[in-house]
Amino acid sequence: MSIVPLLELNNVVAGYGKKEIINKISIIVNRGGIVTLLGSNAVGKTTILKTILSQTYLKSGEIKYKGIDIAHFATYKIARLGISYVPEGRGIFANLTTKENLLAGAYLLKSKEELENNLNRVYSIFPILKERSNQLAESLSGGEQEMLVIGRSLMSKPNLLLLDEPSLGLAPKLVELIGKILREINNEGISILLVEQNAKLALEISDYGYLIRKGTIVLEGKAKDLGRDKRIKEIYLGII
Amino acid sequence: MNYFLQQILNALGWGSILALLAAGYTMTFGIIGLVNFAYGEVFMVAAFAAYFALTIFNLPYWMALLISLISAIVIGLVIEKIAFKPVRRAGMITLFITSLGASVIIRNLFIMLFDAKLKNFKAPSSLKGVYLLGDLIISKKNILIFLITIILCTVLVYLVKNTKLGIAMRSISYDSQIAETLGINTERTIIITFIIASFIGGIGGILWGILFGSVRASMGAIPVIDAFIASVIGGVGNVFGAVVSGYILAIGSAFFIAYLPPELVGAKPLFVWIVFFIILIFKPSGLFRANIK
Repeated sequence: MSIVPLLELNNVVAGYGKKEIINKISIIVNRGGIVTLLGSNAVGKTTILKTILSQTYLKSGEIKYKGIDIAHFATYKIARLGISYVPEGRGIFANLTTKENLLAGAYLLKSKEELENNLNRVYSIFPILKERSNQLAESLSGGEQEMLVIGRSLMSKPNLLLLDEPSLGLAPKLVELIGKILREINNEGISILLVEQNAKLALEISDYGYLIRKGTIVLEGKAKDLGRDKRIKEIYLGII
Repeated sequence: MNYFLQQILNALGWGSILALLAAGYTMTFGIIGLVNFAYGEVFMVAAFAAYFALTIFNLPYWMALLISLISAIVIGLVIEKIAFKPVRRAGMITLFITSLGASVIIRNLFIMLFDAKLKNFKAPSSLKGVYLLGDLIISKKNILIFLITIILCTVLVYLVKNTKLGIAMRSISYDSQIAETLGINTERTIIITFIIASFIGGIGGILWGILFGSVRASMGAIPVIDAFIASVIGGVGNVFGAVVSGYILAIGSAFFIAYLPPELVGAKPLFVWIVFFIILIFKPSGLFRANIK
């Protein structure tokens, strides 16, 4: 049983409608791991996350979570299995207050006590959210909104966190903070699948990485090896 | 001054019904961006069901209410299933057109089956009569309708503002795909929203029958437009705003008639449109905060 990975994608081909965006993607996330998907803009990284969440059209391939095939589950059922999503571009509910956003993240919790505990935990990770709790989410700064979506995704106590570009458009100091927090979250036992354009941040915190180009995996390996790999730099600099 | 207050008391019954309809209307408007003209038919079907139960089958009042509300919910869900669900992702304009289609079909079906004439609606005899407050007169009906409306709308505001269901509804109205990733069953939440809206519309239909003593197949046509206007003025998806706007429109119409020269009384239906345009010019997003993207 212990060899079954937490999340496993096997030769996944998917897209929107008839248009295929990702082709033969195979990814493994082990329990307790941080795995990163690198690549420049519009190469299908977000589509991979959305495919795991059952929000794209899956043409072929397998998606297994704890060994169970979840390929055709409804999105909300996938969330119930303990997969939590941090959308790209501050996917907050702007019409709700900060606290209401967090409560929406706690939708799956049954007990009030658990909800209070998780809320306090998120407030202790991001104290600024407590200060802003009654403010409308749209009035938060970009960095605060990113903290809010991460906090919201933690409210349900997930096993696996899918993060889409958490560093996008943030000041370097904040990026550092987010990196530190992701590591802390990971130490608490939450596995992470991270999509990033910021290769430095991503490779620093992850164990394993995949480089995506035009919807396929062109390179994979341990994060520290990838960090040294010339090809990463070349692709990022646009040489290839 | 008394003349002024008397207008408000007179408009209280109709104003309450409009407030209720606007509250119900704004719920489905908010959650899936639905401009629902068929909501007027939910209101009408409920009133007809109560009329049949009371007049034709001579059932007791409580049973008529029950039948009427069940009919409202059933017709609301049938319309959702046939006219909205298949085209939900097709955008607001498509939904608007299918709602118009559903409205025309149901209304004309009722005209065909039961003709277009006014039908006598039995109000409970205990509701006949008025109370005097000094020089002011208020009918028992208006008091009852006002109280029911305030209670229901308070519950509804609380539900949308403070419960898990309400947070789910507002999340979906902003971004249903993200809501779904949090474990919210959007499909089920939308159905529940339709049930609540239909229930409220059904109550509105029954109260209309009690207030005016009659129902007819085309009774939903004007109120649904007024409810639409009130829900836009009140900020789409904002129940409290819709309720306040419903009262503003109804009481405003009463003043319109009371204070303008008699030749202009025929222009009463214009009033809500005038208010609508003036408010949209100065506050395009409505008087209160909208709850959608």
